[in-house]
Amino acid sequence: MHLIRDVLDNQLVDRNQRKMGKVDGIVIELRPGQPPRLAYLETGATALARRLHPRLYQWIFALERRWGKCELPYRIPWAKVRDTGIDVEIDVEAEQTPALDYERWLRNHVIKHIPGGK
Amino acid sequence: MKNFLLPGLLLGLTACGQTSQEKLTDALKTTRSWAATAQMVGEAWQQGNVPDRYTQQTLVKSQQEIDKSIQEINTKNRTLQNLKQTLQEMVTCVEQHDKEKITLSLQQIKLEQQQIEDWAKIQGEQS
Amino acid sequence: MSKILEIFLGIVTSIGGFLDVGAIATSAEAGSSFGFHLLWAIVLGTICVIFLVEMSGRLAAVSQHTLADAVRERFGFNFYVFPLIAEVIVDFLVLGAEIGGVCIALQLLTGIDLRWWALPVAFAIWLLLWKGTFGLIENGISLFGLVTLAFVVAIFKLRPDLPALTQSLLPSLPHQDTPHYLFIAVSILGALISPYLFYFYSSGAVEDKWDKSYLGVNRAVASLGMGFGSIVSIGVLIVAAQVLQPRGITVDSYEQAALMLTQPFGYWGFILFAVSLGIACFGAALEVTLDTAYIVAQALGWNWGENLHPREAARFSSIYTVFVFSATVLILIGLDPLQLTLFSMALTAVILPTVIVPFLVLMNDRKYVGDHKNGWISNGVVVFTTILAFVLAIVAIPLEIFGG
Repeated sequence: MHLIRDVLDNQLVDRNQRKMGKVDGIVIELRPGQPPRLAYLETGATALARRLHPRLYQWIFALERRWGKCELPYRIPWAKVRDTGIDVEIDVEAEQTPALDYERWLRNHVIKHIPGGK
Repeated sequence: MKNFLLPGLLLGLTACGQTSQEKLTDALKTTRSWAATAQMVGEAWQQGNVPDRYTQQTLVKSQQEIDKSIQEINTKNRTLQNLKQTLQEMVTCVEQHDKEKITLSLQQIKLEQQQIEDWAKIQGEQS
Repeated sequence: MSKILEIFLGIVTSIGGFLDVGAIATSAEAGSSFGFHLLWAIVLGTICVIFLVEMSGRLAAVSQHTLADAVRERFGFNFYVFPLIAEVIVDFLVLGAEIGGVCIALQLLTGIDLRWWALPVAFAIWLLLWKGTFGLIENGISLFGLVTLAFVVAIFKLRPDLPALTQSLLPSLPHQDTPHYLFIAVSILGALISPYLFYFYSSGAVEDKWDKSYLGVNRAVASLGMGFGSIVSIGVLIVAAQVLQPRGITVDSYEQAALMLTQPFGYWGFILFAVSLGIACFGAALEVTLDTAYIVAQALGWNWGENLHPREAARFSSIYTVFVFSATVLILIGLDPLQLTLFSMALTAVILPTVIVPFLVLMNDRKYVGDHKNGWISNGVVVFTTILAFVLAIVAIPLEIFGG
């Protein structure tokens, strides 16, 4: 498997094929005396912003803190990865993860109140 | 990228300074186009091919555009003044739904178009 | 049987996708200002867009990726962010122009000033998307779109001079007003080769779960749909050249263009022009709105789909909601719809390379398209046209802005 080509920037889906973001970052753990270990996949605005520019990262971080949203990227342990075919499939329930924080907020605070949005 | 930008920019800048001659040519072209539009609208209206509201709006728009051109070249030329008057008459005809009276204006505007065209031709030869 | 129906529906909807405010406005302007001389630009643009649309369908069918997904995956987010932002900006202007086209059509028919129509039109677009029945309505609107064939019928009534027509298939420079000629050529290319079409088409193909068995359908839909669409564009150009140019009318505003069918068809010609413009622009406005939501959602991995209920795709629906209403600002502040159209089409030509270059790389990458790679002809045609459009745009846009 080619991490950058086959995993990074791929579509993340949960066990029910629900789209839950993209693989915005990959975390590798360096361990003394042992080979590096693939630890987490990251997803979320902060992970993405950090790749673009450090200042953008700081802004988004501060903004998210003010809104009380998860200011750190949501990390998914590599062990949860089921499949890396077309999409990267994770063994979780998307609705219960912070990955869909904004989705849930919009749904419950905005969309629901527009006629036909329930 | 740079290789394309530079000549493009240069060309753009040189075109920037429009001489009064070019201004006149442009203004006459616009005027002719809008006079022709007014004539076509008038004829179409007479034949019942376009609705009244649209006819009025387009005639008024022609007036405005021609006014703009006249101001741009700052002229008191007789033909252009006559043209404005003809357009005003046409608007009145449409308002009064007088499909016979507009024939006169249509003949008039045809004549004025010809005069503007001749004028533009002379200008073209001078430049 | 179902494949044949699919091809038919596909062709009908692609005609709808092809024809928009840009195609109609640029053709009318070209015909009225330069007679048949710019026909070559329509033909070249059509050939190029046929190749590109076929490619985006092939990419979706073979790799199961939409164009936006594939570009982000292959080149990374740090690259994709540029075409993404460029496309969103251009989509914004184009959507403004499409909404303007619908408003003008309504103004022509009712006499009520176009600015009053901007919000109701945006609301209608939004409602169709919000109700999630777009798939159904798309086909309906496209069927209505067939009224635009009136322009083709008009050609037969007007009997243009055939030798002059065939001559104009070869590019030539005019004797006067060269900068404006180039600007209109760029606008035509930008109007026909619209990037939103490729993103939109590939998204549709993924949503309809195309696989390799659809490659034939794809080829038929792309070539016939775009081909028919371009015949209508050619019709508009020829009618404008036959009716408006001899009278000395150059189209500076839609009111002037509205007269072009009254000569062949009388009162119905006026109605047909307004209805054609309105329907073509309305269909295109729906697509551009959806397209923007698609590319943003696909860039960030959100749920997306034309038939999803808003609660299943809250962020996706929020994007199109905000986008469609904010685009009306362009009309409400009183920008002239025709100038807005020409400008946004020319700008499209400027951003083309950022969309087309990664697209071409993907279409030659076995990891994505396997054995269904591009041949040298499709690569060649697309590269040639894109470079031509880009160079022309860089030269002609400053000339148009500063010189005119």
